[in-house]
Amino acid sequence: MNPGDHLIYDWNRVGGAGLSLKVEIEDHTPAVAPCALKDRLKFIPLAAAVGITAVNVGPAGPDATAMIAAAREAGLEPVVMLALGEKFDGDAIGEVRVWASRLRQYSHAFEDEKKYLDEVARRLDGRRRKVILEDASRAHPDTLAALLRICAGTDAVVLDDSAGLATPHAVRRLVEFAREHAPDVRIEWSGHNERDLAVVNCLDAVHAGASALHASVLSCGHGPGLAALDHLLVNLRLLGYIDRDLSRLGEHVEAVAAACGFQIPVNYPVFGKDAFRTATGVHAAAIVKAQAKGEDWLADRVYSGVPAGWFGRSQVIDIGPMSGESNVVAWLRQHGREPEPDLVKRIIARAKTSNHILSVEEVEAEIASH
Amino acid sequence: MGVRPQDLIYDWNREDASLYAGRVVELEDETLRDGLQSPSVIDPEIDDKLRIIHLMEALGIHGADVGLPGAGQRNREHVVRMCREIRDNHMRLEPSCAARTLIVDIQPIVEVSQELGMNVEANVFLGSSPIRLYAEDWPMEKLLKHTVEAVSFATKNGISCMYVTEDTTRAHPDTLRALYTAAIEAGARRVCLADTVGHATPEGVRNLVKFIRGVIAETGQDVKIDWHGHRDRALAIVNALAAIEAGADRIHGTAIGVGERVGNTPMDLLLINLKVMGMIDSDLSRLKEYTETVARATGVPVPHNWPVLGARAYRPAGDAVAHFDEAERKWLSDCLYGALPVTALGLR
Repeated sequence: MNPGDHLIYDWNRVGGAGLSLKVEIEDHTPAVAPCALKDRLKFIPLAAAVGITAVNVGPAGPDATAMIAAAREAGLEPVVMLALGEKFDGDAIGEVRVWASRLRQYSHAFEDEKKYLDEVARRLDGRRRKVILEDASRAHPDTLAALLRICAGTDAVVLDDSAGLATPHAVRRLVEFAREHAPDVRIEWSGHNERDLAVVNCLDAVHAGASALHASVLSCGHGPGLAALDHLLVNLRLLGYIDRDLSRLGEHVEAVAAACGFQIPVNYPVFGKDAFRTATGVHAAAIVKAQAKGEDWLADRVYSGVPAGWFGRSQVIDIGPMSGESNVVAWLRQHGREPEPDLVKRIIARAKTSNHILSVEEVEAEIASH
Repeated sequence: MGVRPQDLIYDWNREDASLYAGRVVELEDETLRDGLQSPSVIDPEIDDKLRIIHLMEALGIHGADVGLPGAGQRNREHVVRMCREIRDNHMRLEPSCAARTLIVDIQPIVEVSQELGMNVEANVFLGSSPIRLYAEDWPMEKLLKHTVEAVSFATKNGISCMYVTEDTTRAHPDTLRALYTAAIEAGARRVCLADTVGHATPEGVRNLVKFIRGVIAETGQDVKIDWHGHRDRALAIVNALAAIEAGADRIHGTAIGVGERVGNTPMDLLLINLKVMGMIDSDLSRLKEYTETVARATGVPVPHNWPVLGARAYRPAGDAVAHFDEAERKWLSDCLYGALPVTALGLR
């Protein structure tokens, strides 16, 4: 219970939402981030610091061996990617890809589905294995049912929305179908972001009974990538499904961005530069009034659906063409200046003629000319 | 070999169609109003704004919020120029402007409307959540007074009025019932549920839209519902789809999601989703031009992995389809690794 919870009516929880659900996450960042091994090794303890339970280290080989050791040291379960029938005796779970859709089978020259399913059954080694049903969201139910029967006895089945097609309703149908046809097998979900639905699809998978979700920091991966692990954790915490400290999540995001040469977009939710900034008069005024009441909790939530403080950040008020005088007063106080009425009027007049947010240098120039 | 994509693809989404059966959705583009409240944008010059207006029209977008004429001289001049462009080109695009529930903000919209001889809808907004009311020390009586005065002023001066409650997704149902009832009785024929701080989940959106539909039904008036979402939890697109599913009539968005903090529902991705779902029949062949024009004009780049339109969004099938003949290679390339028929959408 937070001190100001009575000040927020939460429509998200009307009608019983906000159940207590358990969920684990397999972090694919070390497997898919386009950067050097030394950097990928650094991601592993950062994943552990935000409560990740398993880490995917990519295909078997020297890099995977090094990352498996790092994962063990960090207390994480390593997962290595294998081709069907590939032998692997290392200290990791093997994740075997099979083609669940006729489309994928066809593209790989398997025109006879029965022949392909027979081959999967013959070559699948169930010992410490997960099976990824690639393109499950475009697979015929009969094919999925057959594959789920074949997968009985494996550690888990991963339903993979490889093409980023699925809607949240489809995710629920798929997970429920899998649970019905393989009641004793652990079901996991992995999805791509072609429709900007990857994060919510993970949440729906959990609601439908998936035990683990696959994701990567900053959606690393081919094309638009996997579900963003960082945004997934934020949502899981906001929904109350996890209660872990996420204060180092930003460090993880920045480490991946730096190693891969990604520029974090300024408007990237939670971790972008603008995530907790406003230059709009009415919104800044609300934050300023909340701060004036001396209630940090209030100031961090009155204009923010995600508390900046969870991530070591704070609300920032800027001055721009849509600002009011309260922006200027707040800015001057934040920068140790007295908000004299004439100075405030001068700066707001300057802002109203600008086509952008005033930089520190531009505000300082107005102060100097005052 | 004569194999067709539909022979090889089972669509687990297809049962969704019943959720949207009979639904007609309209779109309101906020790029040139809420989009410009992003801390990182440059307010575009008028020539770029006019280009963007034409692109909205080309994409089949129904309405455009073109600014706050009460916010200063530059804003007012731009609003007049854009509305004139819409009028003189006989566009289907319907212009609107934002205003606080204050006469001083609505009067300039009335003046623009009268100057050009066209309806410019007033989108009047007011905070509604208990946390905002507490921070601002606003009593309910004050909210109701502002609501009635603002909506009445707009409608009595001959312009249509959309009544917007800010932070609706954290507002108490009793407050919302009182405010919406007052606004509708004063003449509002469109109400907007705003997820101002990006708090909502799809379940929350459905709960809220369903409740507001009930409030509207109690008034006996024909009032449309708008949904205005933000991206703070990376749930803006699905929230828009949930709003449509629950009965919202119009959805707000901005190109590449530019807007306050981390921005609004991305209009481009919403258009793609609606097209894939068969809910719109717009020609999207100029979608990339729309996002790139906004990116250039505002100085906010399209992220490299932005779905469909980012520089690295396309996953080529490459060697995986090299052994097929040209005809099969063509359609396999379009759907093997990415689910969206981007070639058919005119996007590649």
